[in-house]
Amino acid sequence: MKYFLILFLIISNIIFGQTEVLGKVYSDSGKPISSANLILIDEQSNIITFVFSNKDGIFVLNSPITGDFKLKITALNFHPTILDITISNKNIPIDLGKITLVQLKETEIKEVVISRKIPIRVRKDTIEYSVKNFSNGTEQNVEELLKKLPGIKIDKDGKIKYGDKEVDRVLVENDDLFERGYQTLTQNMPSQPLNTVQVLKHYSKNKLLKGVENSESIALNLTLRADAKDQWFGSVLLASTSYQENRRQGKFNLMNFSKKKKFYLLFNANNLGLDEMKGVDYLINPSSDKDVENVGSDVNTLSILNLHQKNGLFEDNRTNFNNDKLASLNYINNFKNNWKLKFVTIFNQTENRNFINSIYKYNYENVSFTNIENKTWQQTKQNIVAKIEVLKDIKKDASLQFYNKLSYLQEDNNNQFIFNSAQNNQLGNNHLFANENKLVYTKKIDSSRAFVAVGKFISQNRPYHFTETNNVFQSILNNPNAENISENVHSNMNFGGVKLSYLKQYSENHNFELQLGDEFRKNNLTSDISVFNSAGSEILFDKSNYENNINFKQNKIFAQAKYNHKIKKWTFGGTLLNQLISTNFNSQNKKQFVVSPNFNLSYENKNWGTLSFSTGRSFSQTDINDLNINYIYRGSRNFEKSDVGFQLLPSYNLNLIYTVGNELSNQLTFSAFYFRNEDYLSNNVIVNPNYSFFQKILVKNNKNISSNLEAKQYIKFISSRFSLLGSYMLSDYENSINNQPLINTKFSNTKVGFEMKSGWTKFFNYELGYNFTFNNVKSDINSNKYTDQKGFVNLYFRISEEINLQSNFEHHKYGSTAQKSINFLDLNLDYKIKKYKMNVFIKGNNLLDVSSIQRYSIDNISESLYTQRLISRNILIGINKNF
Amino acid sequence: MKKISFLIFLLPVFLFNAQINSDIVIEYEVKIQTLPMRAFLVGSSDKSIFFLTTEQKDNADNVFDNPKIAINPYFFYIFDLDKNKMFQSLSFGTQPKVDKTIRLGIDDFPKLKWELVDNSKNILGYKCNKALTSFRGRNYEVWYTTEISGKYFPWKLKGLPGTILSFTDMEHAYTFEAKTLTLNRKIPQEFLDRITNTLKTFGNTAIFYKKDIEYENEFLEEKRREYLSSLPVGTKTLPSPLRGASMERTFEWNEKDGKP
Repeated sequence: MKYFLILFLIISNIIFGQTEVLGKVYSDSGKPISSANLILIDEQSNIITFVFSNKDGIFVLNSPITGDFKLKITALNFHPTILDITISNKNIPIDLGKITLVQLKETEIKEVVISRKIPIRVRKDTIEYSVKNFSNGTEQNVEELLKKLPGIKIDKDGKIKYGDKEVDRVLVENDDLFERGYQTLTQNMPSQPLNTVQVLKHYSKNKLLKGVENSESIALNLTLRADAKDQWFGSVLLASTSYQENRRQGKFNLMNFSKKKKFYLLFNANNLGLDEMKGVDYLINPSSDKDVENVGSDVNTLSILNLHQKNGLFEDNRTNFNNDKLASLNYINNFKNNWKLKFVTIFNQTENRNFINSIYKYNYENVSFTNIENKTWQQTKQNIVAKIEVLKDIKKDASLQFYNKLSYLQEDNNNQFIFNSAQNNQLGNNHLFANENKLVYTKKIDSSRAFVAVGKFISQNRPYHFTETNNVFQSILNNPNAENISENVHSNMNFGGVKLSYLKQYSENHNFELQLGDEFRKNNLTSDISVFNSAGSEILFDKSNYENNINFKQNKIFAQAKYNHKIKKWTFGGTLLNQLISTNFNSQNKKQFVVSPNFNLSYENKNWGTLSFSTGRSFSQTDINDLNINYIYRGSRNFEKSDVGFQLLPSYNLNLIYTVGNELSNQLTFSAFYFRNEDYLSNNVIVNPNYSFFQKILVKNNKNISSNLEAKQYIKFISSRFSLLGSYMLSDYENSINNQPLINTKFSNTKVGFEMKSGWTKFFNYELGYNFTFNNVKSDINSNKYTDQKGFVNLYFRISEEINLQSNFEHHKYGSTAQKSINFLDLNLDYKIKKYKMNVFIKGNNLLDVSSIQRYSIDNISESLYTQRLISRNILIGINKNF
Repeated sequence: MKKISFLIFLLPVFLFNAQINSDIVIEYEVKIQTLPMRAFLVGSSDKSIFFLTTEQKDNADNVFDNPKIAINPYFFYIFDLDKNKMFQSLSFGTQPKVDKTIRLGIDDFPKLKWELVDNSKNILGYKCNKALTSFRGRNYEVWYTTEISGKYFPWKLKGLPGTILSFTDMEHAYTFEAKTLTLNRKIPQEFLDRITNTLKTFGNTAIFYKKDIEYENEFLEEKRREYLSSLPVGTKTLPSPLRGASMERTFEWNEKDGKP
């Protein structure tokens, strides 16, 4: 009808021209009425045309068609009038003359109020960005789009921040595919299918707890354009260096999202030094969330021995000699009757090699020696994880969630060591099998109260086996034939926990939570060692000091209350945790009752800033790794045992944070933390040039102080931020050497520096910074001071909308090393081809070809200098295409 | 002396009340980029007044009683039907850049082209028709009723043959839904006086909207630089469109060169 009418109007206009209808609108008191509405309506009540009268009451309507019409005349406070008019002759004006409207009588004018309740669609906790407003089509993935949204920041690892709070989840159409590993999604999903990005504040994973739990969590929800739903799309990346350098990267992402189903398939492989596991780490470890839907948050993956050393001082792309492959599949299905199925599986294989040369000088109590080592560490890992999760909404106010997660990990080590010119090889393997099950029942009692019950069961089993060739037992047993060591370590754990929580929200910032629960765990650890000669015959000796069979059981009954309240500018709250801990360690029973209170208080004022203070007492405990009463050989010439048994380790903490100013223009942030252990674990080391025996001992009272300062100021005339950065850290500890009295060591580290970043919107931007770190080690025996320096200059050129060049320059200077300062230069040229939804890039890594880096470290009995090999210069050419 | 001035002050009130009241007040529930707000359309005599408030507790009464409105702390639009002129509050970024005697802008906004759509629905008991238009970089969907004259209009959506009870841009970044409609409301004289006084005091110094937007763009540009520089080191910054989130994104005066 509509189109017919429009078509008719156009045709009639062309053929017939227009007919003028004119007249004057007056009130019955004889005054002209301005702004009266005159609407020409056809017999089907379609509006043909309309006009307003001018201040003299005059109007001229142009009708494009002929026929019978009604002319509706309305004006505020006048009775509406409808006139019948017939336009039969085209182009002949019709003068209606004076039209009189009858004014409403004063008695007829009554105030009329009509009102309605609009369903609350406005969600205060949601901020929505319409993608169209921020995208220019050159964004290759969601992350690049998010970078353009004001308020959203993304760090180098892909972690997203909204304001100063870290984003916990990124959802697609309200479904959570990647949990805490959302970088996989944001860095690989093309941005073109997006419609909006919603920031969900006070986010609750469990929708029934929204508005009931005290959540400061933030999530992003990506909504898709209607035409992108239920479509297959994705991206592919291929990059390679020259054949000689032999480094490559490949990525393939395929996805399909609809309201009902979500599917994501991923394949990544590289030997460029990029750690592909970051995005799936969350799947491998048990959940450490401390919310009401979890229990046993302190249960970790069993790890007794580590036969690999990865460099932690430099970024992966400098030191990670790798060959990684990762495949993952995520699937969500929302069934009709409120069932949801989530399935995720990953398979990965990683290989890491690390090359270190070191010189170790020992000097204490008239014993001194120097060891020169050359170590090549190599580890290959295979992970297979499958998690299946089922969620069911029971009516509107209850839900049930269950998941089962099975993980299998296989680790193989092949380490080549040269120890003072002798070849020592280490071969190891271990595997982990873990099964984790969790059931959560949530019942929302009313809009402000909820009840949550959670049950969890975890079992883990991890056997280790490794062999090492060295002179350790030759020295211990005084037998020149004892060349080969073989050790088996087996650890398993079963955990079961239940927790019942009651949550109450009195008002928006006023919450109470009560938790009651019980956690039970059982650990078992066995170890045995054998020594062989070069022909493979076992050398018998008294192994009683080198074998373990540890059984540990623990039951914790706990009750915890949490309270949080905000009154105007003051926020205060606290938790009170009571635990009754019963343990059985190798048939010895112990029962302890401990109370852990925590308190926090903060004051917020627009002018003065925000001051937060918190303090608490807590207990950690010795775990299965601290309970082996006899030595376990840990490889690399170290033995370790513990004499402390099961212990609760009490500690206190005091924290202070002060922030003032505007985050964008000028802000000062200061924080200070004080942490005191009443009891802590330290070592007595029995040192021999060829090996060390570490005995864990319990020592009293150590303290750690740390503080941070950041003062930033936006400098308008250069449109740049200048930040002054400072930090201070002090810790002290006591340890013992060769059963001598405890030696106290204080370590302090003071860092000062600055950072600048431009906010230019044209073609060039810079970042630069420099800092000094003053290290000071002071012990009863010796002391040492040294200064490390680091500087950087990053330049960004936006040559055009499509072409970007980035250069990163880093300068490092380490105190107390013979190595002169070292510099790194990396370049990245990126060319976007919008038309083909692709970009082509060239990356020059380590262009100054720095082949190694030296670090120096010192403690109270030794100094060491080690040299780390770095990934050499390479030039990578790649292409990234969305489809 | 005091008495005389009091009488002078009261005189226009009596005159006004002697006339027949023709006032209309519409309260809209507003969502701006999902932030909740409220808006009011006050139609009285020759003025179509539209303003936004951020206060959730505002209703018509305390808005009229709020003396701060005379110095327009909110987004404020006063259309003078006699002079056919839109006076509006200055943009947030403009106020610090201009002399204190300048508090208003004049927007000579272009005539809107309306497409009337054969579609109707009921809002607040009134049959409403749908209309579509484009205005300064956004497309709008509007629902209006011909049962009440279209003399008064919210914001700049002028020219429909009826009163607008709902409007939103097609991206649903800005939505306005009438919540309460009051006909024949006696607008407190104090409120109207404040409007009159504001126009009297600042009407002559009002600057053209084009200038206002220049100032606002400068301000937005500066804020954008501040924001980009505040990001952590290592973040490759990608500037977002300057007026991407604004209600008015493009302007007729620079549509030729494509600048915002």
